[in-house]
Order: sequence, then C-alpha cells, then structure tokens
Amino acid sequence: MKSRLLIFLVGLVTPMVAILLLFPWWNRVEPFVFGFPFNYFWVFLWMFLTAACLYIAFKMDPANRREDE
Amino acid sequence: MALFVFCSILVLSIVIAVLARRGVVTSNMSDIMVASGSFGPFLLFFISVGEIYSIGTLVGAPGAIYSHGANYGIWFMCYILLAYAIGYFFNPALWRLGQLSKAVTIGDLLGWRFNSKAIQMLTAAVCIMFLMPWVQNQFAGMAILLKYLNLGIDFTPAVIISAIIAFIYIATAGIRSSAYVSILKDALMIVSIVVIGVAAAMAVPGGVGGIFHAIAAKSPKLLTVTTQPVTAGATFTLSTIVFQMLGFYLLPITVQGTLTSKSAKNLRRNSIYMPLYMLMFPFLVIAAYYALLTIPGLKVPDYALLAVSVSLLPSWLVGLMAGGAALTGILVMAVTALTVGGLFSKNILGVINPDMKQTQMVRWTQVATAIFLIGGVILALYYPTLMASVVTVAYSGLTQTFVGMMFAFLWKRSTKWGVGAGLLVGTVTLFLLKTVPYGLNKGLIALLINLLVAVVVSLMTTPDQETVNRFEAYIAKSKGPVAAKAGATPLQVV
Repeated sequence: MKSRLLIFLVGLVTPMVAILLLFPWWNRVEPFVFGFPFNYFWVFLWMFLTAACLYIAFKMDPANRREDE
Repeated sequence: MALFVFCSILVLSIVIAVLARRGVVTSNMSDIMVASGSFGPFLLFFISVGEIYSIGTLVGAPGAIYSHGANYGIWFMCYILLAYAIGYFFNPALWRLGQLSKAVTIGDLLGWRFNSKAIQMLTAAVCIMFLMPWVQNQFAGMAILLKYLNLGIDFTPAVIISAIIAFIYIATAGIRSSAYVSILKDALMIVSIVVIGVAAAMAVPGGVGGIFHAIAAKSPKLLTVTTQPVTAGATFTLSTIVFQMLGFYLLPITVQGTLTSKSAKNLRRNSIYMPLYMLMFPFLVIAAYYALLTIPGLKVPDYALLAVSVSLLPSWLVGLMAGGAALTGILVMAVTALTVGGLFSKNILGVINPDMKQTQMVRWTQVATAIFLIGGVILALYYPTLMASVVTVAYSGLTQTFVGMMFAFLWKRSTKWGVGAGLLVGTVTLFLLKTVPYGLNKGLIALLINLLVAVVVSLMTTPDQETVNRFEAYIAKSKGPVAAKAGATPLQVV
C-alpha cells in the first residue's frame, strides 16, 4: 500500500530522522536562536514541525475516511 | 494567602470530580476504567494530557535539568515528542484490539489476543509492580512541594489528604472524574509554567538569551548532551529516547486513556495536538536554567522550580502554582491507582474467580485502589526518593509489554508461550542485569532479550486456533468494513 508507506515516512520517519539521526549535528550550543542554545531550539522547532507532519499524515490517511472508526 | 488559594483549588477539584458523575448511567468496569469508550475529542485530549504531565513534569523535570543540564532536558522532551509520532500509528491499532476484545485494561488486550488467562495475570502482575514507582513518584513530588513551600500544612497530613482526594476522584466516577479534573489541572499548570518562564526571562538583562549566554559562559557542559566519553551521555541518552518512546503509549495508564476514545480517528487527530501542547516546555526550560544561574547550590535539586517561583511571584500566584502542582500529583496518583485496581480485580481476581459479578468487581477495584494508595502513603512517609530516576525504573518494566503488543498486531505465528516467556525473561533480566555494554539503557537491553526469547519460544510452540482467529479478526478490522465482512470466523469474547 503505497500511500500507507508515505504516511509512515511523513508522520513517523521524518521526526525520527530529525531528532535521532541528525542528533550529532544538532547537539550543540551555537548558533543561539531566539535566545536558546541551538539544541533546545531544534527540539522546540520540531514540536511544531512534528505536529505539522502528523497533520499532513492525517490529511493523507485513507483510514480517516472510514465510517467504522 | 498562598495556603488559601492552594486549598481552594483542591476543593474545586473535588467539586468537579463529583459533578463528573452526572454523565454516568451504570457503574460497571467499562465505565469506571474507560468511561465506556464514550470520550469525544475534547475529553480524550484532557485525559491524555492529564495522565502524561504529572508532578514529574512540573517539579521533577526542572530539578533534573538543574542537576544534569541538557543530558536530562533534551532527552526528556525528545522521547515524549517522538512518542506522539508513534502514537499516531500505535493508538488506533491498540484501540481496534480494544474494540474487538471489549478490553478495559492492558491485561484484557493481551489476554484476549493470545487467548490466555496466564497472560492476563502475568501482564497485570508486571504492570502493577512497575506502577508502584510511578505513584511513589507523585507522592515524592508532593513531599517536595510541601516541604519547600512551607504553606502551613504538615507533610504527613498533606500526603494523607492527597491520597484521600485521589480516592474521591476514583470513587465518584472513575476515569471520567479524572478527565474533568484534568481540565482544571492543565489550565493551572500551563498558566503557572508560562508565568514563571516569562518572569524568569524578564528578571535577567537580555531575557532568554541573557540566561543562556550566562550559562554558556559559566558552565557550558550543562547546555549539551555529553558525548565524551560516549557512554556518559550520548549512548545512554539516545538509547533511552528510543526505549521510552516505544513504551510511552504502553504505559497501562495511557492505555486506559486510549481506550476511552469513541473513535480511532479522534486518536489520530489527538496525536496532532499533543506535540503542540509541549510548547509549554520552553518556559519550563527557561525557569530551570534561570534557577541554575541565580540559585546555584540548592541542596535538593527538585526545589529548583519552587525556589524560582517563590523568588519571583507574589504569594497568591505561588499558591496557584502549588495548587496546580498538587493537582498534577493527585490526578496521576488517582489514574495510576485506578489502573492498578482494575488490573488487579479484573485480570487477577477475575481470573481466579470467573463468576465474579460486575458490581463485585467494581467494589474490588475500589478496594484495591484504596490499598494501593495507602501503600503509596506509607512508602512516601518512609522512603521519599529523588524523582527522575524512579521514572526510568518504571519505564524499564512497563515497556516490556511492547513485544507482546507488536506480536499481537503483526505476527500470526506468535503464541502465548512466546509472549509470556519473553515478558517474564525481560522482567527478570532487569533485576539481574548489573552492567550494560556501551552505557546503553538497561530496559532496552532487557527488551531485546525479551524479543529474542519471545521469537524463539513462539517458533517452538504453536498457537491454538482461537488465537489465530483473533489475529485474523484484528487484521480484518484494520483493513476496513469491506474486508471485515468477508470470511471472518466467529470469535469467543473474553
């Protein structure tokens, strides 16, 4: 099911790549953004972006058009 | 003044809990444990955040950031964030299994799917054991709150009163009361956190940047996750993030929350809001680092947030925050005790005595809840502990059900022997494991061993026909209405 895979990629894999895979890259203090060290900023940013990814996944997800759930 | 506000909040919460009873028609297990699956998106959201954000968040997290800096702060937020992404996919699956099995506890879910009373009892036993630290944590948080703030309430009566209030929530309307009280609790928590964060930022020249630049100059190690030596920080941090993000929605209390939902679609939608709710964390982090800057050398790190609020806020606001913090502790105490009560009465007593009537089981649930709370009070009075590490212990055990649950969704060939053996071995490993390679999270190692054992034993045994039927029913249900009608074999209900 191709769309199911895409939903996984967007909703789950993307945040995991951003947080886990890229970890060595974002685990640093410089540059400061909005006053926060970069690593904290990155995590806060991904609070927004994860919600956005899940929103996109939600809109694409055919399971949401089912009547039985 | 603070005391007055504090007490008013607690009284208000009791009023709300009692009013929640208005929606209740019958008092059976399904209603007290999962509100008969009637929660729409609003209550689903509040029971979710109610259970997740405990006194560990409000008091424990700043305390741990104060002690360990980003090593704690970063992983704490990361595992929760990723857990929400997993939850989008995981929760509807769990809910579907719940619909098929008419489950009201995690013991029901696994017990039904693997057609095994032993699995019911084993799951219940493991969950009850590891939920004890969870409730202990809330009492410890209350202790810290009251000791520091000196509101004029002695610790012992306060702990007893908290336990009584928690019991009132459960005795009036089970999980429903908790959902409604959570509205008050979360409102107070958000207001407190934002106010403290803003006050801290305003108190330092340069605001947020001022705080962090000053920390960067003084003790930069507190701002990043330690990578040298690798074992000290990074491997533990990352392995713990991975481990706990898997376990998050398997915590028996969050399972209760998931099962209250009216629909799978609401669960998915809820998953979208949850990361946004985390936007209170920047304020919490600001307050924690502000404490590091202005109040270094606190003997009890968990005092950090409270010390900041006392130094920056007027008395009535401190009372408000204390009330909110107390509610976070009491609410999670209540839901945890309810979960334990249900697991005990349904999946242990109910298995030993299958003829137990619903009303009896509800009574037993309330009794078990009360005993659990009393036990918690005693532990709190004699063994208060530092908060953050206790959560790790609880997670290490509660996540062991991950293997069973994933097999439930994905593997036809999995058997009750495999799942049971894996769960048992995984749990025992936790107690036996003394050193871990590369500083990896102990629970994760135990989980991998659990998986291995579960696979091997499943392959050596065969699942009975009913177990296979139930797997196929689950698959049929996940595919949708058309698939479900064609060729489904009739099932036994638990």
